[in-house]
Amino acid sequence: MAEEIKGTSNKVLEVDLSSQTFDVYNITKEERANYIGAKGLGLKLIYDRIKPGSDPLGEDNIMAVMPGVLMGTNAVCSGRFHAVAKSPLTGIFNTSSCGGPFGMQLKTAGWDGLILKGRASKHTVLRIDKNGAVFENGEGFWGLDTEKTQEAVCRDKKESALVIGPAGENGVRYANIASGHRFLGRGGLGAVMGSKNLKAVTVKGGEYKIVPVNKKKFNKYKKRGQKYINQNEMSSYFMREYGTNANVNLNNKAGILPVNNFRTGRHDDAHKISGQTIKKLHDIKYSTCKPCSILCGHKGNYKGKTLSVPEFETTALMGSNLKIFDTEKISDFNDICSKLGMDTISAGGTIAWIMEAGEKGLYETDLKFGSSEGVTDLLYDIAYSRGKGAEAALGSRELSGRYGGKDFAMHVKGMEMAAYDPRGAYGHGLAYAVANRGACHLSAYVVALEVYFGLLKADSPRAKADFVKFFEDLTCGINALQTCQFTMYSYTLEPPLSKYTPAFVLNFLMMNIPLLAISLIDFSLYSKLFSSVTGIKMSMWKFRKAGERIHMLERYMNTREGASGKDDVLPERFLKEGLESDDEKKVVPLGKMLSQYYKKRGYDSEGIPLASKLKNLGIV
Amino acid sequence: MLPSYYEFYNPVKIISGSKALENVAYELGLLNAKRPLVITDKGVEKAGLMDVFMNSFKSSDVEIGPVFSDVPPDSSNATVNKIAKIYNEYKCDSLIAVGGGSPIDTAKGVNILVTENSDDLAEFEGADRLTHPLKPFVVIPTTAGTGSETTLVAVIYNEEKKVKMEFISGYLLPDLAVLDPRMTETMPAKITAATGMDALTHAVEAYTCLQKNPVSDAYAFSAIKLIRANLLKAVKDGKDKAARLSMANAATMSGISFSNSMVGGVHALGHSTGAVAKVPHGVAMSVFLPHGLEYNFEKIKDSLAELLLPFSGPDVYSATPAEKRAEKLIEDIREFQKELKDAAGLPYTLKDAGVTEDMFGKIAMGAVDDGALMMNPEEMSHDDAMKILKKAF
Amino acid sequence: MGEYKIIKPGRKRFKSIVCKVVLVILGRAFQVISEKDNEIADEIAAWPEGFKLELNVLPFGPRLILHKKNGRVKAKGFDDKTPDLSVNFKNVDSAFLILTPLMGVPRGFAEHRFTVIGDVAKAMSFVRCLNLILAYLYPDFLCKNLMRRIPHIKFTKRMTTRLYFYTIGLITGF
Repeated sequence: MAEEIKGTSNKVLEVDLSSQTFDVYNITKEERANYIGAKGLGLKLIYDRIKPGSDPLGEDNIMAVMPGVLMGTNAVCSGRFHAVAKSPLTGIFNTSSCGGPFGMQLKTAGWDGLILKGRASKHTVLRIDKNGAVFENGEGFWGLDTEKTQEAVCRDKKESALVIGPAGENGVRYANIASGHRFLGRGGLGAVMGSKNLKAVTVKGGEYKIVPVNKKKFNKYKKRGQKYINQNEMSSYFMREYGTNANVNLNNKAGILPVNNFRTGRHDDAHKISGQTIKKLHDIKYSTCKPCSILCGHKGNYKGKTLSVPEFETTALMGSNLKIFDTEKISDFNDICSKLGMDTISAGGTIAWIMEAGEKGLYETDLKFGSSEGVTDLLYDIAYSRGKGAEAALGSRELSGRYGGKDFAMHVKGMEMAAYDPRGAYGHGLAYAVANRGACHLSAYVVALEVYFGLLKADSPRAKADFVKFFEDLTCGINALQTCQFTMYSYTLEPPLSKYTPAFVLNFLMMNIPLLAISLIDFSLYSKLFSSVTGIKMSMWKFRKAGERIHMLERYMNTREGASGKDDVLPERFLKEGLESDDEKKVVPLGKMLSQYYKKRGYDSEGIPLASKLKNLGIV
Repeated sequence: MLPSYYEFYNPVKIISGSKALENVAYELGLLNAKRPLVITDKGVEKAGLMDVFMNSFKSSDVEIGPVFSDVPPDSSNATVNKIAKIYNEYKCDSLIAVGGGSPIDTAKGVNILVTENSDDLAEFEGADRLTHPLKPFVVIPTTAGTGSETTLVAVIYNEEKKVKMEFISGYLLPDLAVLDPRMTETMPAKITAATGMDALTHAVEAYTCLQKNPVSDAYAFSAIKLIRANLLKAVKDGKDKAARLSMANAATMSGISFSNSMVGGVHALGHSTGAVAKVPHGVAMSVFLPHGLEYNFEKIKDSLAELLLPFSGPDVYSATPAEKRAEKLIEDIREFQKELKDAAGLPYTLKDAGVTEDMFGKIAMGAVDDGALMMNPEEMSHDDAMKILKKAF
Repeated sequence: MGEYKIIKPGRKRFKSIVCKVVLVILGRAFQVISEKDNEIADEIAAWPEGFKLELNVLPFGPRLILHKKNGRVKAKGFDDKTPDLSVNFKNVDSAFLILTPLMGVPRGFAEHRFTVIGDVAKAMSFVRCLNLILAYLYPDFLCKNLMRRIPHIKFTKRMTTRLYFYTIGLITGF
């Protein structure tokens, strides 16, 4: 009979790999109320422990793996958890989200978080259970791919692992960490684990049952969330039927699909790799985070093998952006990157740079747009750091620094660009430029408002600063809670006020009186879920302020590392070159939006958070 | 009941029977053709049929022009262009196609180019693009299957664009179709079976699909009767001249039938399966025929009931109660498939035909985009096609 | 010389006008409803950018041209470039039968009422879109004669889209 944990255990397992010891840290009520959990608490715990200027691949880097308060309660879409560490790709802090089974096992083993410090002297596997951690020799697993490692290292069904593949072992700057068939994808966290000589972290869960403090209210809110998800077209139809690849046709129509290293935004063959076509070709079935009711994850039959259907970002960055429109090839690349333990967005972005640099004679390569020849070999070379793969493993910022071609190295702060061209969605351009971890499309997903829902005028800079700020705050809150970001469509658009107001009225309001429109957005479901689980009173406004606090903390931590307004830029291509598919040849008017954004955020003109603002939020 | 409107066109003169080839010279005279270019393929040559052809012209006054035998298994525009150049170089004035679907379609393509004095087939792609009669054209089929000798369609593969070009025009029909039993004698058993099933499918679909009319029905009815009575004989004993001639006639009549009453879902699925899984046309037809008929059952059961008579004979027809006849026909077709499998190894499941389940999605996508599907009595979506594919596996 | 007259035929005015009106409505319907229905959007996503499709009544028109520009379908009555796909009604009587709910496309094609010049796959895709549009425009009792299977559309969506089109969409084109 599993013991009950009411609300949250607030226990964090703090492991020192250098000394092979562990400690238990107790999250205070104040920390919980101010930083909520997952991403927020992860950042706070690291902030309290790390020295500024630490080498991301050195022993002073600290990694936190944190579930939120909803994990284990069976709330809808509550199967995701976060990891935070300093990124070897960008040199600043990186937070990454994952829907794999590790989070649930960690939580039901009684832990609200895991902190990894120091560096093990030899290859290690860390085994965690409800009592603590045991350090085991990881030599036998070193060299195995992520799939084989998980099979080998988990001894029974209740044990789940975070593992790295050869890419993480060899310090590929964008190596990822696998849990099940999902990943802590961006920012090179796999290399951080690899630098700590940590091949795998296993945890044996199922020892505790997580029970919300206020069960009745929690059930009510859980039901409401489910209702909203089932009502909303994006979550119940597009994501559920076609997965994230539903965005292929939507982006192609709007002319914001990356093609040919972002030189054009549309291609006549794009429909061949759309979610709709994938469904027809590959007999897809659900394969999702647990628990989930949106069901965006799928697996399919690819030439007889059952493989994960690649996510939209992979389909775009390792497909259309390389002018490859073959679902089999893209799923192949996806499978290889999954097994090697590598981020497909950064790998795809780096390869696109290589192809264009090759075209322009800046870099020697046989890779060409439109051909998959050589790509697989390069992916292996990157993972094993051999031949040309060794420098490709450093990312497009490093490569363009060495060989030129900076104007078409599509990254922000060193992290490669995601699959939404901001020249067709200015707000998203601002979001990319100011996102804390780099070119992150999820930091403030305003492209949905600009392009999918038509609620904001895509090619206008007006009101964008307000919405980027709001959604950054809300998203930080959601990532701290933690629940899946895809609930945002349904939870904010389904409440009666948004649902029944005609689109053109909403559009007018949002474009012209953004602050009023924002104040009318009802996202109380998130704060209500938090309160009912933890028993800590949390209003919608407090929840949003917590989100703001988390965002500012992250910004502050980054500025301590040397980041500033000079890094809040977009690749030259977005600022100077129009899309080939756009007759008007629009470029992103970043400057205007940026200065507005800084003002609203409380940054000075250099992009550094004002001391008064930090004090106000209780960060310093 | 007549359709509210229909069109029927078949100007092809058919000469069928013993020593039919020997009469070609005379017919060419009637067409004022003195130097025909002959188009055939290596298979026909190897089978010795070109010798039979050449010998039949002895003691006639016709000069056989260049004989082009390099036609690939799928007619391509590069080949058509090549042959057209030869035709002009040698100042030929007519065309003779000896072979199966590929040489016949190639010849149709060549006929377009040499008549219109063009070197780009793409200009004439589609329906009713031709506006005057083409050069005299004789077809001597060596398979008893496609019926191309009496169809107004030619399909030619465009090698540059990598797509199939379709040409539909009454002017493509040959002036003369020659059914000589010697020319289909050498077909191996499996190909005989496959092409025979192709002819059967043409006839059955022509009889049951939306473009059905009384004239095409008459041809289909006759064709089906001949096929049932003669296909197994031709498969088991290739030298049975009577069976071979009957099959040739059946194929021609099926061709006339479906040329005037377009085929439907079975062909849509078959074309797509051929394109994706490289399954030969006749084999695909055989696999899908009963499934296609079952899919359309509610809308075509009256027609199916009528077809029980030519297919299974008057005894079975009168012994089966009227409301059970449609089902019985499909049952009997399945029986027939089994017999052909035993006699010639002709597969009747997709698995046996070499199709794997991961191909289904692509096949279904191709099938719903095939023009033939428009004449299918029932609408077919991608999901419907997937269900049929799974059943036919 | 001079005994016989060469007769130039007159026009079937009523039928021509009806055809023109229906083509305008149909064009608008495509333009508006393609933005509202996901299945139609999926079909159009597969059409190349710049794709032009024409419905034409031989020999003198009227015409409807559907043009995919910037991902959206726009309807117009005149275009100087050759379309990628042409559906030519042989005469105004044939067009009248098919454009009014008297005869559907499958029967019309079976009866050789029109010819299709261009990629047949795109024509099939166009007909799938057309069936959906007709299902939005007409009630079931009209639709059942025009297509082999009435596409399944959620009742509320069908009604609200129909209402929207016949009030705002038809007039504004958005």
